[in-house]
Amino acid sequence: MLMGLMPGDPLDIACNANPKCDPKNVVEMKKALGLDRPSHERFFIWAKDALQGDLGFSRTYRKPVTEIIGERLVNTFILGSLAAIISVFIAIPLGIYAGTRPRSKADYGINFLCFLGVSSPSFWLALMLIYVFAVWLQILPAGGVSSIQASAYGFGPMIVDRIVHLILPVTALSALTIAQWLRHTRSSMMDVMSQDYMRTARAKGLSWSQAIKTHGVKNALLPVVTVVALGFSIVFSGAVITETVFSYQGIGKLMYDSILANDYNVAMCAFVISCTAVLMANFVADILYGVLDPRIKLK
Amino acid sequence: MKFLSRLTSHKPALVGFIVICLLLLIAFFAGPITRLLGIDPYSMEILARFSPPDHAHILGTDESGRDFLARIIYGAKVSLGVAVLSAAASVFIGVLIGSLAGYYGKWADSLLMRLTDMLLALPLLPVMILLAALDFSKIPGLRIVVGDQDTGVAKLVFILVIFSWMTVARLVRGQILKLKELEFVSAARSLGMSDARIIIRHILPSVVPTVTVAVTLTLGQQILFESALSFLGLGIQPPLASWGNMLNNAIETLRVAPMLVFIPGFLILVTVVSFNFLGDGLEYALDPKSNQTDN
Repeated sequence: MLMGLMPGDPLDIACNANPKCDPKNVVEMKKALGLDRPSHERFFIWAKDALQGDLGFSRTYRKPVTEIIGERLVNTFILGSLAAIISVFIAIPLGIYAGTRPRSKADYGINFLCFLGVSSPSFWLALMLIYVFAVWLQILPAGGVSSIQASAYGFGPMIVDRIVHLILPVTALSALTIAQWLRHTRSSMMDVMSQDYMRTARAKGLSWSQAIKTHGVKNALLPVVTVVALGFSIVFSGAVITETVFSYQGIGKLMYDSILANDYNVAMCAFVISCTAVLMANFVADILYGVLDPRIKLK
Repeated sequence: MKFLSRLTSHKPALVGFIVICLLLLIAFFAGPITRLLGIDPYSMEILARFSPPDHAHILGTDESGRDFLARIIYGAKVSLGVAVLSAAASVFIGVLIGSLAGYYGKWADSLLMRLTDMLLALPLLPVMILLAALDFSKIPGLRIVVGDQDTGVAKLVFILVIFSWMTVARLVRGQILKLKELEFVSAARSLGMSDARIIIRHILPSVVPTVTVAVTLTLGQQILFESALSFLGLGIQPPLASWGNMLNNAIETLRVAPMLVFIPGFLILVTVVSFNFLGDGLEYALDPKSNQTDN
C-alpha cells in the first residue's frame, strides 16, 4: 500500500518519456490497469494476486517479477551465508579468547577493533575496500557478480571468477557482524568465567583450559546462538548497502533500484521477501533457544 | 562527584566526550567559522572541480567546485542536528510508552510491547529506505512533517524516530516493573498522588541512568542511519550538506579524489566511536556493581 504513495505514477512517467502519448489514452489506460482506484483498494488486489502466485510484471525489466527475483535471491543467499559463516568462525573463537583473558592487552586490542567495527558506516568501509584493492592495488574487481566473458572458459574458472568477485562484498558485510557477535561472545564468556560452577570445575581438578572447554564455552554460547540467528536481520539490512556499493546483483540492490525506478511490483516483492526471511530467522532463534536451553520451556 | 571521577577514570569515555564537545561546538558555530575562513558551502565554481588543497580551499573542492572544508563543517551541523533531534524525540516516545506499559501493565502492556517487538523484528534499513522513498505530501496527516522546502531533514528525523524508540521503551518498562513494587511507590499512592505524579516525580528519576546510556548509544546509531540513507540519496537532499550525502557520488569520486570520500566517512566513524565510548563509560560509571579495578 505504501508503494502507491511514492512520488510519480508509472503511466505519467511513461507518458512524459514519450511525446506522442495522448493524455486521453492515459486516462483510459489508467482505468484499464486499475490505477485510478485509491491505494488501499489496489493493495488488496495486489495481495490477492500475490497469494495466488502472481507477483505481477516488472515495468523496468519487462519480465514477470518471479523470473527476476529467483536469481537475485540466490546471489544474496550466497553473499549473506558466506558472510555469516566467516563471521561465526572469526567472532566466536576470538570472543572466547578475549573473554577468558579480560583486561589483557589482547582483550583491549580486540575490544577496540570491535568498537571500530560497530561504529564504521558500512558503505564507507566498502568504499575504502574498493579504493585499496580495486583502485590502488588493482588486484580485485570493484564490483559486479562475475566478469562478462567468465562463463566462456568453462566451469572451474567461472567459480574462481565468482569467488574473486565475492571477496570484497563479503569482507564489507561481515565486518559489522563480526564486531557485534564478538562483543556478545566476549561479554557472555566473561559472565560465565565468574560463575560458581567454573570455580567448582577448577576445584575438582580440571585444568584451566579443560574447565573452559567443557563447562565454559557451552554455557557462554547459549545466548550467542540467538544473537547469531538474529544476525540475519543485519545481513539483510547490510546487504542493501553492500550490494549497492559493489553493484552486486542481489535482492537488496534490486529493492533499492526498483524503489528509485518506481517499479512497484518488484520493490514490493523484494521487500516482502526480505521481511519474511528476517521474521523467519527471529522465529528460528526463539525455537533454537528453547531447544538448547532445557531451562526454557515453550508454552 | 563520585560519578564524575569514575567517568573521567574511564579513558576512552573521556576522549569520546572531548571529541563530541568539539564537534558540537563546530556544528553550532558553523556559520561564524566558515565566514571567518571566508569560505561558502554553496557557491559553485564549475571550472574548479576537484581542485587540490590550496590557499583558498584548504581541503580542495568537490565535484561541483564547492569548498570541501565548508561543506564538512555544515555537514557536521546537519548530521549532528538530525541525530540529536531524532534521539531526543525517540527518547521522549520511548520513556512515555515504556512507563505506560510498565506502570499500567495488563492489556496496555501487552499491546504496547507487542508493537515494540513487531518493530524490533523488522529489518530496519530496508524499511527505512522504503519509507524514505515515499512522498509524504501525498499522505494528508503527514504534510506538516515535510513543510514547504523539502530538504529531507524533517522527513528523515520523522523516519528515524519511528524506528528508534523501542530500546528505550523496553529498558524503561523493565525498570518500572521492578520499581513499582517497591514501598515508596505504594507510600506515594496511599498519600493519594495521581498516577502521572507518581511516575514523573518518583519513578522516572531512578530510570535516568539507564536512559542516559541508551541515549548515547542511540545517538551513534542515528548518525549511522542518517548517513546510510543520505548516501543512498534518500535522506538529506543537496544542496544541503550532510556527511552521508557528501558520499553520494563516491563511487565515481573515488578514482579522482579519494580524500573527498575518506574524510566524511572517517568523521562519521570518529563521531560514532566517540558516542559508543562515552556510552560504555557512562554505563560503567553509573553501575554500582562494576568495581574500581575495571579499566
